[in-house]
Amino acid sequence: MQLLILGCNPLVHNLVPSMIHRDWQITILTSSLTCYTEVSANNNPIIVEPNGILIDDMTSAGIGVTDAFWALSEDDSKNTMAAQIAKHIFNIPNVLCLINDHEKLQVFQKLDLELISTTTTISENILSSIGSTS
Amino acid sequence: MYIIIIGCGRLGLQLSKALMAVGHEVTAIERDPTRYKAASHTLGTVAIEGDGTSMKTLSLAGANRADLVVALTGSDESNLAVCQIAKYGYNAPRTMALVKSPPHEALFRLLEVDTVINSTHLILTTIEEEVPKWPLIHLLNLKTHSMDIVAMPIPPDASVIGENVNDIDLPPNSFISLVVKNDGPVIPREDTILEVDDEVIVVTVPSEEQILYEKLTGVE
Repeated sequence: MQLLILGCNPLVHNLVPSMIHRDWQITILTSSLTCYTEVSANNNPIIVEPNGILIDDMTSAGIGVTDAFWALSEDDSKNTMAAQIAKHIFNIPNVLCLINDHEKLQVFQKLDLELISTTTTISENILSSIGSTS
Repeated sequence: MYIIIIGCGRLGLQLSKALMAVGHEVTAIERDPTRYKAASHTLGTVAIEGDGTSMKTLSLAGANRADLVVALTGSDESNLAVCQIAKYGYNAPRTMALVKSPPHEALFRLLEVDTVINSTHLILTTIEEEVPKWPLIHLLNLKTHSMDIVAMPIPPDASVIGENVNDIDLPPNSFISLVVKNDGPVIPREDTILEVDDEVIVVTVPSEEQILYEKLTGVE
């Protein structure tokens, strides 16, 4: 499986080793210098630096041949636009989009994207944990 | 009409002033503190400091009663997000976005931003109009069919001079729709011959523009 990831934050740092362990080929589109040390040191993802035009950067990073695209950057606007490029322009079957600002979650759900929100996920886990112990 | 403008650079600021001058109610949102100060100085309380992609800021601006939301930031990603949040979060009846990178224009249209302003295309058109040696002048872009209407003055050394317009071997999706001669425009007919200083108006597609130029001038 070919996976293209937008962004390189701690979430990506944690995900990449396990995805590589599953024999996924990972490409990360990021301008983060720490990505080289945090992710690349013990794994072997391809890291592509963006030039500023999102659709061109995604093309350079291989969106045309990828099986999955996960937009996991800190920038919600960039994530939603990238996810929609992947879904509507390149017809990628597996598209995930991280929404950092949970207030936008309800609105972006109308865009027919597979969304993930760390705030919502953690909140649900905590509430579930409280529920299970009470 | 109530109009919310996101991005108070020179364009946003001037547009806000112009809209207010003709009687529209305007709120202008700017994230950058320095630009916000300038906007506030010029526009007064109409300017709001905040992130235009934030629901809090848009709610504060009264996005739920806006007739038009215009996204003019320097970021295509933000401009698209503003329009989609306005449309799906606040039911804004009309959205308008600036696109700085031309490759993103098709996506904006696909995602139903009502009006897409391609700044590169606008500047290019101006340059083409101002620089006489530019071979093709873009008059109109027919977005839904990805076709352009271009004008081209026939240069004195063009290989098509003296040819009947119907005999010119144009690319398959290019059509001469009008020939402007010294004494006025002519709809191309069987007996229309191209002469020096004629200007042809052609419907074409972007991928054929270079070939079109070569066919009409003989220059490669």
